[in-house]
Parts: sequence; C-alpha cells; structure tokens
Amino acid sequence: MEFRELPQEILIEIFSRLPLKSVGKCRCLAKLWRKLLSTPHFIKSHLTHQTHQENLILNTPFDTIYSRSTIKGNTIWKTFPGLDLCEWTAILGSCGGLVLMVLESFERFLVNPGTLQLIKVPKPPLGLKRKESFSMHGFGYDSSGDDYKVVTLSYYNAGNEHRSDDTFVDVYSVKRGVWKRVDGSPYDHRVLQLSPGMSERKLSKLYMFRKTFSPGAFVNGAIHWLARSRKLVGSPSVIAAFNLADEVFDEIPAPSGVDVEMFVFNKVVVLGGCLCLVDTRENGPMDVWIMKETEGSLRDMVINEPRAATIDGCTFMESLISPESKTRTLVNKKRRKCRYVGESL
Amino acid sequence: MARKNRNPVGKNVDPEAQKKKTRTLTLKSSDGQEFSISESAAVLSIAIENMVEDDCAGGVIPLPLVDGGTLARVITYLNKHAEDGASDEEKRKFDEEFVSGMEMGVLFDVVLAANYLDIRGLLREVRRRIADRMKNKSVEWVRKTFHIESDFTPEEEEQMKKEFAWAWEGVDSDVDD
Repeated sequence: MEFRELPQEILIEIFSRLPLKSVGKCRCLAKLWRKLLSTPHFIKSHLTHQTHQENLILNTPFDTIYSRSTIKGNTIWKTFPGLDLCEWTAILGSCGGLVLMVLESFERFLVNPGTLQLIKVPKPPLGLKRKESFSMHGFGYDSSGDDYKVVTLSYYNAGNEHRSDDTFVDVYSVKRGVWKRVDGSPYDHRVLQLSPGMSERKLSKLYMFRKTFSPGAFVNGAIHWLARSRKLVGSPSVIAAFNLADEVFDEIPAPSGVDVEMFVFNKVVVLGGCLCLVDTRENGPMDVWIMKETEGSLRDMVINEPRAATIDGCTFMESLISPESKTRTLVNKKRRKCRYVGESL
Repeated sequence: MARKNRNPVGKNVDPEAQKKKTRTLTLKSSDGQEFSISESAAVLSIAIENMVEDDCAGGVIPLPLVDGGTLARVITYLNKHAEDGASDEEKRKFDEEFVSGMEMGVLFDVVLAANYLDIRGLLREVRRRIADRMKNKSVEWVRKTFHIESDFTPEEEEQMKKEFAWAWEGVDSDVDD
C-alpha cells in the first residue's frame, strides 16, 4: 500500500521516538538520513524521548561486563568486542546513556552499552603517581558547552613526602579530547579521614568499599562526592558538588540524623533523577536520604529492598526503583512504616 | 483585536472564553465537506486560532490541505479536548483509543493535518504511534513506507550493515500494515 509522503521534519520527529536499534537501522536508509540521524541535535532529542530502560550495563559475580537489551520481551546479553573486560574494576559514572569504566590496568573507557562502542579516555598529563595517591572520578554532561566531561579529584596519600593536603582537580573534555587542570577543591575529600577515630577493623572494611566509593553522582549539572568542609569548625561532613559549566565547587550539608562517624559508609547516588545518600553498611532495609530539586538538604527515607551485594552500585540502585513502577515503596526504618511516594520522589 | 489566549479551555472566569464556547465556526475540507465546530474547540489548532484572530475567516474557514475523512477525525479530537470537565486521565485514555485503531495510511493523513493545523497534542500522539508501529521493521520496509530511496552502492550498504551491526538483530517480518 502506498502512503502519502511525510516532510523531513516530521520524519525526524518520529525517528527521535524510536528505540536505539531502530535509529541505527534508519541511519542505513540513505546518505542524507545517516547524516540527519547523527547530529548532536538529533541525539539530544532522542535521549529526551527515551525512558532510559532499554539498555543496562551489568556485572555478574564473575566481574564480566555485559550490555543488556530487550527486544519483544527477550533479553539479549552481549559482551563488548575487542576488549578484555574481565579485568574491569568499577563503573565510575554514567550519564546520557554513556558509562565511564575503569579497568584493573587503570585504563579508563567510555562505553555506549547500546551500540557497544568504546572510547578510551587518556591519562591526565598532570595526574599523580598511582602508588602515592588516590583518585576519585565523576562523569557528566555540561549543557552550556554541549560537552561530556570526566572529572578526577586526586590527592597524595597520608604521610606522603610531598606534604601537600591539596586535592587536585582535572577535567577531561570528551568533545575536544583534552585534559586541563582547574582550581583545586576547597574540600577535604580524603575518604580515610572522613571518619575520625575509626578502628583498624573498620578501616580495612572501608578499604574494600573504597573502590566502589569513588564515583561521583551526576545530577543537576554537577558531580557530587562525599567530603568534609575545611572552612567550618569541626570540619562537618558535606556533599561537595562540582558544577560542570563553571567548574567550581558548591556544597550540600549532610542530612541531620546521619551517623557522622559512619558518614564514609554512605554512597552518593542518583535515584529517580534526585540526588540520594544511601547507607551501604547493612543488609536488609537501608537508609536513603533523598534531595528534592527545590530543597537544599536531604530528607530521611528508607528503602525496603534487600541489598544485592554482588551487583555494582550504579545498577543496583537502578534496580531498586523500577522506572516503570508508578509508585515507589519506601520504608521509614525508625517507624517501620511503609509509605508510597509518587513520581515526584 | 482579541488578546492572545493560547489555552482557553478551563478558564471559567474569562468572558471571552464563554463567548468562544457558544460561537461556532464552519471548517471546509479539500473535497468541499463542511463541518460545524465550537470556536473554543477549533482554536486548539494554533493555525485556526490565528485565522480567527486575523479575522480572515469570514463565515467559513477553508482547509484545502485536509480531506473530509481526516477533518472529521481531527474534529472528534478537538471536541474531546475542549470538553468541559474532561479530566486529563480521560483525555489520555481517549488519545490512546483514538489512534490505536488507525491504519498506517490514516496515521499519515492525521499527522499531516495535525502538523498543518498546528495541534501540538495530536501531533505528539500520532508521531509516537507511528514510531511504535515501525519498531523492529526492516530497512526496506521503512524505505518503502516513507518514500526514501537508498543512494548507497551495494558495497556501501554492506559496510553500513557492519558498522551498525548492533542494530541488525531482532527484525520483525514486514507483514502488518
């Protein structure tokens, strides 16, 4: 059957509502369409129409990484070709459908779980020596410059001969393919110093947590990490927010009621588009503080899902709250009460 | 000239909106069919609203790019969305049912009409529905359906299939529509 011909702009609008695979096929329609469906404008419009549930990246207990996609209810698992990802260590951030990962060799890759494409992120030229230092990472999108950015915070280990307490900040522009060093962070990001007076046993437990600790949470144009204030008396725990547009830090106070001694065991994540602080210590119900966009502090909430220890933080947080479910069950640990939170979470 | 009022529905205190509810317009399709519609429903189309405001409408508004069958469908949509007391949930359900029975050719007619008449909600709904129907279809199906001619050589076509290998799994048969 012959249909009427639709103008190009209507077709672009329709194609921007297709799942990723269909867009890939439509790029093979003709030369013009290959070009039209690859513009940054189209990609952005496509991302805003997606519900971000088509492709997920997961690790299994064997530390292998897969891309998962669902076609007509059938789940397809695929490994990334051309790279031995058995040696990957952690997911360092995720934004706009892209995921930043680090391998055991400390090589960093940006991967697209939908297309299985990989981009290697080079080492920062001013990066500190690995043995003497510790680095935290973050990945996000700067809408003002239309650029994805990788951020590393690095500092010398305690007792270093450099005697420097500075936290160095390096920013990698994915668009331009270059690193630059920006002003250092005014916060203390040393995870081991975040909880004063911690016992040996706790410290060693903390060391295990450390590698999954470092990814910053990207939301509202900024990457968020746990930190301590250097300005205020008693160096209170805060969440430091690095704004990707102007590349400076701001802060969110820690929620009242959080155990300051154990602050370091919390994890900053993004849930349902909101910044959250999750207490990762216990099995069973755990504390979750959720920040609404309009508020400047975190609210106390508890989620009643068991912790899945073998699944990485990024994925396990996503699986806690299904994007499809209209209501979300949250439990207040102290009151042992269920409550339903709507889409506005 | 009347104040620009893009969303007259539901503003019960506005005397202008009250007048629009009682005034009727006549829309004339490309094949000469005439339809009566309340002004409050008609102006959900930005194009018709502009014609009414510029007073170029006269008694009858000619719509030379929309045939009678399509215009009847569009008017059903406009009437529902201008209905007093129709909740958002009701409208959403209506939209869903409104497009679900349409064949691809009808969806194309409606999307062209919604685009021409500038009816944002209808345009959004129909575009989404067309996208739903073309998921997992073959490239040949999309080319034929949307009148797109390939300008790739067979070699280039093979190269593209390799480059976009991730997109070439799970293609449906092209039978429906």
